[in-house]
Amino acid sequence: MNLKTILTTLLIAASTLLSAQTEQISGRVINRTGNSPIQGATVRVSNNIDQHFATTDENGQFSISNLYAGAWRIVISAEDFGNYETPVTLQANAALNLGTIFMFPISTSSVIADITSLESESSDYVQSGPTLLGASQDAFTSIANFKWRETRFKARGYDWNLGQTYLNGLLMNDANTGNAPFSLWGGLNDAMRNSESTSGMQPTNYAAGNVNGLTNISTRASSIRRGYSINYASSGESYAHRLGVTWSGEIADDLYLALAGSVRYSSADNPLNWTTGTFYQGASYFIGLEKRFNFRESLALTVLGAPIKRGVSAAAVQEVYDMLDDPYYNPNWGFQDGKIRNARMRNSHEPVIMLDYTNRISNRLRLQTAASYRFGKNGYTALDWFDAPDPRPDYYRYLPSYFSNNPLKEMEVREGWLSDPNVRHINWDGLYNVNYNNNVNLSNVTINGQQNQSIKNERRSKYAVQNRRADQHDINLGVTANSIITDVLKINGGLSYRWNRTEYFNEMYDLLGGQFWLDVDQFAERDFPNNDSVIQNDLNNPNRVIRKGDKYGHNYYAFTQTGGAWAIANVIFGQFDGYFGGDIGFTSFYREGLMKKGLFPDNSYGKSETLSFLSYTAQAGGNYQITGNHIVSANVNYSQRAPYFRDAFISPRTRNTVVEDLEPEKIFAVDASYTVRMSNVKARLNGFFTQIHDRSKVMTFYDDFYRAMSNFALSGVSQRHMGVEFGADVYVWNGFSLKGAVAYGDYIYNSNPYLTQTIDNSNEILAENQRVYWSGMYVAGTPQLATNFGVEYRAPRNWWAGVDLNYYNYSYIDMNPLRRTQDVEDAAADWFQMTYQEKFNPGFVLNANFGTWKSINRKYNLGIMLSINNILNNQTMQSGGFEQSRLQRERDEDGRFWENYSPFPSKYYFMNGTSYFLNVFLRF
Amino acid sequence: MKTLKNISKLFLLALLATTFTACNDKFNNPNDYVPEEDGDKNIITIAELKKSLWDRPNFLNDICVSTAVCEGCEIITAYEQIAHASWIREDVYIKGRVISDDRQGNFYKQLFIQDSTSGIVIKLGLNGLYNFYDVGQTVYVKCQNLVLGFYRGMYEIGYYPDNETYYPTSYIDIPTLIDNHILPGDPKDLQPIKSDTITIAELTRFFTSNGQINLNDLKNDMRMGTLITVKDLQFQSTEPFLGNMYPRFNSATNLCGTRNRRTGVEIKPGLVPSEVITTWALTANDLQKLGGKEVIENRTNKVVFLNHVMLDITEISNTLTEDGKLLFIPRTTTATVSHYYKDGSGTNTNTVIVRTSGFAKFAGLDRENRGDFTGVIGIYTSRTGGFPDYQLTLRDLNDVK
Repeated sequence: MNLKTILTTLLIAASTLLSAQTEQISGRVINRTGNSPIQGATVRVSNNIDQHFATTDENGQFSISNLYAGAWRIVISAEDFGNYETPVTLQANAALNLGTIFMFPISTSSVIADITSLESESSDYVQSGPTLLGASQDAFTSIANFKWRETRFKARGYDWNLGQTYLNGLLMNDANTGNAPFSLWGGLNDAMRNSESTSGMQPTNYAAGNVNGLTNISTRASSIRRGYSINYASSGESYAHRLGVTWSGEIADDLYLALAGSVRYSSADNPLNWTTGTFYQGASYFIGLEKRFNFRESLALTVLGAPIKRGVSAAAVQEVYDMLDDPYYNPNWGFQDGKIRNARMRNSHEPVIMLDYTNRISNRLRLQTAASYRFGKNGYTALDWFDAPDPRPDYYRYLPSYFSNNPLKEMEVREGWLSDPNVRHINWDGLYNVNYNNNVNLSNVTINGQQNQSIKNERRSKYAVQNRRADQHDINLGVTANSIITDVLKINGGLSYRWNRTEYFNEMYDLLGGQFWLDVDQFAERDFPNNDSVIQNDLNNPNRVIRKGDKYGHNYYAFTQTGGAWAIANVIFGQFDGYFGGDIGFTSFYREGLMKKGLFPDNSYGKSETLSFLSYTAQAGGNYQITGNHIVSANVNYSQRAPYFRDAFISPRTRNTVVEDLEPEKIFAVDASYTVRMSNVKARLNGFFTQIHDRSKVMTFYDDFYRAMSNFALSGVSQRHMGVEFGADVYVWNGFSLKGAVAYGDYIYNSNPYLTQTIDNSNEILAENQRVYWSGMYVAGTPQLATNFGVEYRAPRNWWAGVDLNYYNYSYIDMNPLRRTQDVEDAAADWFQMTYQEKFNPGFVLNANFGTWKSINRKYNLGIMLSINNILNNQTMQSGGFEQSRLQRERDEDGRFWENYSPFPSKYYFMNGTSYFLNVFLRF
Repeated sequence: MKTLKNISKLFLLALLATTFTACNDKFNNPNDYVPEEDGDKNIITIAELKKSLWDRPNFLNDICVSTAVCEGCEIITAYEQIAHASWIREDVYIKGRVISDDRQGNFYKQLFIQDSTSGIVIKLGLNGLYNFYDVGQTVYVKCQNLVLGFYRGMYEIGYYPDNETYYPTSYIDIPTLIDNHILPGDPKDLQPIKSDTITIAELTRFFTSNGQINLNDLKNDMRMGTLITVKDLQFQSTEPFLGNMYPRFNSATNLCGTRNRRTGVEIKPGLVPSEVITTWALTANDLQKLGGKEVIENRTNKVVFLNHVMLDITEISNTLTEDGKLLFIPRTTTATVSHYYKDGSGTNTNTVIVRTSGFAKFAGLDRENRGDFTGVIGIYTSRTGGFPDYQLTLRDLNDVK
């Protein structure tokens, strides 16, 4: 036998083996309205191990081969259509023809928007909304994610950190805060489209369980839509223009490349933007490279990043909004050089590099190993000042109400606000001029690490812009195993490990016309004026001269490690599809101070104690198919999670002191749902109940009584969230559909937590374990009733229009816990005013949208969508707000201070008036 | 090759992108403010302004001010004989150089300017005045639509008084008011005024035999509000009265005291023995340290101060004692202290007070018991002009040699 014969025999033998995979699935995809074929729809056929893609041709036809017998899931998605999903079972050696598959158009599928973060001024906590990742076939989820975003709706009332976002199997939520990481890849929508999302407590393939949904985005180059995808968007809210280009293709044998880039821009004085002073300059890039070594192994590299700079707005008190008759007043900016300059800018560039190796060991077992590295800079600028008048225009002492005791002055102040932009906004010129005239001579300063230096006749800045940095190095490793044990049992599991070091410091961003800044603590200097060591922020570099770009104020590392193992088993018993899963892990963190704080010399430099927590989850549930169209499901979850770094240290900027008796958070959650999926009606009804115990939180603010930065450590917070969710999508007749959703919840605090207050210029505990009597009061941050009802018309010639109405109510203000403590309640001038929780205004919001798309030369797909939001221009609804942490003492008639406490006025954000969103895409 | 073309297209995009984020961030530095000049302003002397007050109508006669006596509203002329306040409606300016300095915290919301004839305080309601008006800098004050006042022997320029207070003027603390009325000259042209050396005898030459002053002399002494140096002062004693605490809880002349709303306890003024006060003034920390010390005093007045309500309100109600314990002083309270200094050579027995705020940065340092003192001179009388005390306010410790 010669070589040729051997090879041929082997080949025949091999092909017989391989020919075991001649099963195929085919079908034809048709647009339900107008019965036209849908070209360019993506068909994905997957089981726990493999996934295959195909694209429908001009007749809507597709066919996928090289499959094998077993259970598969088919998902068909197309621009502007709701996903079509069905499980199928392939028999051996048979081809399955699904026949005609009807897809129903929906109007929101191509709309993907980034949300400008709006944050409360007193904290660094940021709430950012998720980008809508692809269409969701569920009416409730798509309405909740897109339509209700204007009120910062949070599903089931949870904070963002209860939802999880994974990239290629690795958890990407921020290690320090748990926040969603969408800003890491803002603008890369087309590259991030291949995602699997669950909502609520539905089971996933990437974790044992979760309470607020999980999204896993796969960025493998081969799974990104082939060809070009160009997208232009414009919005009256976040950015005026966004342009993105994505391309993907096979550049060599089994080598796939995907590239994407986008720019987003909005200027600060954009007249279509409701809030002046907010600007947006962002770009993003994506490179994905994937090599398939053989049919088993593939390696994918992903590099992405989104450098961004954007100016933000701040909430203001009602007095200012009323005085200016403008609910969108933004105190963060002022005029400089004829242009709008915003003092508060978020700036970041945090690229992610990820390597992802998949080994399909057999058609029953697949192993995916991934490693990611996230690094870069993240900052948030703010004004800083030293022993000089507060430069913020809406500081309470600059408002007319501060002069209620002197009507003439009150009038003068009001006139100043209405006529002088330097009163109404930051007076940048004034800040520079103070710095220009502050020539000083100093001795005993540290310059470039050398102590005992002098400064001769240089301008010392009294005002500056600082950049509060939190720069991360985040390494994430994970192994995921997906297996199909039998046709009715599949098991997924994995191991994960994460190491994160975040460096927190202030960067001197702009000296505003001065030549240097001196790094000492101004509150300590006020209180201990003759103690040169206590006033130092860094005893190792006393009286440090700070130039532009230097670190000052505080500097420490937060080291966090988490690791764990998880597994979930899915079992099918006839009509019942159930699962149970669990995970166990640890979290540990510690602080390492890089500056020796003069006020806490023994407790600030070097490592703190290490805190470790055990975390675990147990979750079970399942679906029962009453018939193919009616499904009931239920889930139950119990878990324990570690607190986050920022809630574990009472004042990490100044010292290593840990919150006493820190407990991990415990969650018990249960939900049930009933789903109907018929060709004309899709509806889902959920009920849920979640109890959270032992949450902890640390808040920092400037306390006027102590005239120092003060910290609240809150522990033993319990929250109970329960409610119902309903969504329906009904095709009525001849292109008309009705769609609606209701989220009705009752989210309350159901414990009286403990509050301990400390200040930053002394180690004393000011108030220890004061009970906060707020049990029964509402969790803030979302309307607890959100409803939407709309009508859509789909014309046969590929255009559609729709009108919908939202109604929101039961949104409550974010509370200051101090106001509900015994001592403050007792000393309050008006107990009711001090303790009641304000409810925001309810309201209606009317929206309309229009869209069309067409196919040019059977090659180009062009689409355009325009939506006009809040047509009735409702400007009375607060989209957020908080009680100020300060309290004031009332003056009595003699002008002396009593201990009659009263609250400072609360601060609010208002929902934007009429605005638009335009989206244009071109694909080929 | 197609791929290269694609890659280069995207590189271009990336380049565009990064330039986008870098640009649009350039703001030119603003110009320096143009310093104020004489121009064609009608500038009058400070002495002239002061004297003109007595020809103006006193609007204090028409407004109701509250009294320190808790009897409600009382028309001021009944007892406040010498307080006087008037609007200045003519378009006149005064011009002087700055002699006070709040950098060290001893001049709170006060800007003293001095010209060749006299000096006067402008009640400027800003913290950190030194950031805007440096010692020796020329400042013009547009007096039109400001209020000129006279209170317990000192003239002042301010704004219309607050409702129900007994000060004849309020602070000028609104940006539009400040910008329109307080006009700084060239910040590079600093010419600190040389202090006038004066002896205690000369300073106190208006004293009558029983230590009082004639109302006319009081009104016409143009030396008040100027910078002087008194040589060879020697420490004599300290006023032990802690009613000068800020924030005030009570005052010596407060006949009805204050009552803690929750506990119903009455708080009366108290005293700290002078041996305790060896520093220029009592800082917040000094006062905290005093808490708990027994007051060795056989007067009947006792003192209890309330601490921040969060901590101690229950403790106060339980531990109130009758034995004069100083307790629970509010954390941010300080005490301004008046030290009496006499002539070191002993030729004259009159004294001058060196008065220091508890917020001064040097308040916690030990006072000098003997030396040459420079500062802004003022006088402080009772409401009716009696019991005058000359008071010297130091700018910083360089003023003591």
